[in-house]
Amino acid sequence: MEELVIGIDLCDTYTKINCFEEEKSWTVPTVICKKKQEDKWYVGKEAYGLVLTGTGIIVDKLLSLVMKDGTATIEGVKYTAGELLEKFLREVLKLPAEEYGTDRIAQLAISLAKVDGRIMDVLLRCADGLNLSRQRLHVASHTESFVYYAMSQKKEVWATQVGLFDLSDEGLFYYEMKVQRGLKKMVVQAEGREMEESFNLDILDNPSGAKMADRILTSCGERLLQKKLFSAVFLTGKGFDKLDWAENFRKFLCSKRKVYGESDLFARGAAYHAADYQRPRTAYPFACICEGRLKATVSMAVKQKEREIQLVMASAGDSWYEARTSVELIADGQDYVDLSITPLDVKKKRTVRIPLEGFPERPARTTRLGVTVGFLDENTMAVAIQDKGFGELFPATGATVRQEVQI
Amino acid sequence: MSLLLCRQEAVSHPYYVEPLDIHLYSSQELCYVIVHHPLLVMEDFVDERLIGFIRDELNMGGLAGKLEKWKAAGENPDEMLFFILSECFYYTPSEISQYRQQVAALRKKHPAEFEKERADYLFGIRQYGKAVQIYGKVLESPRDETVNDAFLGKVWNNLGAAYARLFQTSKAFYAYEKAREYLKTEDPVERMYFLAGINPELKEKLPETAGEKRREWEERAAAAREEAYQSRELLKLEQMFEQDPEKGKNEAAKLVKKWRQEYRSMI
Repeated sequence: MEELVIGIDLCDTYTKINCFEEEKSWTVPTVICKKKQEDKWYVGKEAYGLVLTGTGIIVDKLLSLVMKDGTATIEGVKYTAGELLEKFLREVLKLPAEEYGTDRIAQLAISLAKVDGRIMDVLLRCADGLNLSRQRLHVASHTESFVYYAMSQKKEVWATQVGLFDLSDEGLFYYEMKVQRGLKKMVVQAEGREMEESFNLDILDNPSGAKMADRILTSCGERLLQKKLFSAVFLTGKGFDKLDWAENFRKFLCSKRKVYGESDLFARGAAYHAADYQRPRTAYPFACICEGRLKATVSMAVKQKEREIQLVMASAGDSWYEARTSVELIADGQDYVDLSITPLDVKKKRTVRIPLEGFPERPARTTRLGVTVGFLDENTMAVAIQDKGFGELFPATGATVRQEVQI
Repeated sequence: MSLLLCRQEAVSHPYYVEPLDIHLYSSQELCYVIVHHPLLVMEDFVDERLIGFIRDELNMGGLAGKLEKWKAAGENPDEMLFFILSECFYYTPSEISQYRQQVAALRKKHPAEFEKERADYLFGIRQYGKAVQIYGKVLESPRDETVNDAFLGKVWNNLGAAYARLFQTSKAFYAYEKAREYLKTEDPVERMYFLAGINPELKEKLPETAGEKRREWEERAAAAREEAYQSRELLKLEQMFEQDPEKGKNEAAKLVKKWRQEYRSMI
């Protein structure tokens, strides 16, 4: 292997690592341990070993620490959550590097239960610290990783609906996806949510607890799967490593349904996702509508070579954190920019007008506009329009209009 | 009302239009100059340097190739301008058609009239040296219905103004004398009077004028001088001299250098 294509399922309690098309995967707790009196950092069993012998100081729940912008003081030195996460990722990435004899990373996709702007920023800074180009780092939600995993299987697996139960120390989650064909572009709609019936995995250690967990799961399954046609149902997470405690759930699930167990589903899905960035053309020619993806297309009516066209700034199904487009336009007697927001249900199409307030008055077609569209989350678009003037004939004033738009 | 999608043009070496003292960074700016300055671009504007800019900087190899061929074949240079406009899609076909008519109307003019308009345009963009050359050629035109006393008088008058802007006071004075002769009016005398104020040697050549007129001119000249003294640049310089004489000297040197450059670009 010359370069690694890695998928990581990064959760608060555990982290799974898998390389594209490789059977082997690693699961380590999301903790980082510093050896006392030395600048050496450890993860996994070694970390716990150091703590047990009293020679290491451990920090756990690294994602929670990032989310609350926290810090940890170890031997009098204050570390930010981002710094600790970077150290953790550095150690974690050594696992495939040692296994496959190279530390060169072609693509790295990280799957998170919930993608949010803060964690995105921290991960991008981690990439800088790890000397990994930001273009090679991709962040996806668990839902997206599930879609990539399912769509990488044989067609019969995803022919109708696909369900996924994820049971781990993080809780009980249910995901569902379906493929919509017959549209201009194939659309995969997926969603996932944490179930209110979540339970602690420790209850599985005693028979009565296991029975109760089985009842909870069975009732969940009946509620979620009844009257729906599934081409496959997946089970993932530590809770499903063994199924002997869930006899009723197993019976219900396996009746008229194909059920697959995949303990590293999100990490493998992330690895499929990462591998797709290596290809000149995507192997997944569909719009994915799910958490972390845009649910509407943002476009502008512009003139190109005398023809009016819709210039797409972001498409439904694009990752919101990767969807960032900049174009230059010339305003022809127009002191505003209209953005069309078209959800999958085109009847709900609407137009948002952004007036060019504070822009200088010039003759028609002598104001070049730099229009940049980015996203703060999957529902919030940030638009910046800058006066770029018209060369030395009408110099730029730097006037800028910024607006946040709910899509 | 619309928004035009711009071509991606990563211009690293902009095209310098010397008479306008501006650099062009895009095909849109090039089209703008062509349409707004027809009298500048109608003579030898499409040359090797411009074609090189279109090919290498605007990345429009097809257009550059056609222009090269047309130029080598001695095609009508106006057609090359229209072709540039239509290939850049900055102006609409109807606007290009209007421009075509404007250029055709200019071409239909009497050669002397056309040249005078070109010289007037160059005067307007402070290219006095080039304007002087063209006015000189126009004055050599054979006389006919158009090239009559009134026409020649206007050309002499404008030539005088161009020389005056170049501080060539004797030549300007002579041109105004000729203008007065052809136009049979006393208007140029006022300018001659002002020139004599700058160059005292000309005073003895001034024609006889009533005292009242002279007083009126003197008042105007004084007002113009006062306006010049109150120019923002000079006031700023004066203030600087008061605050820090050394800094003032440096700024004065810069201003003189700027004026020198401006003067050179006028010639």
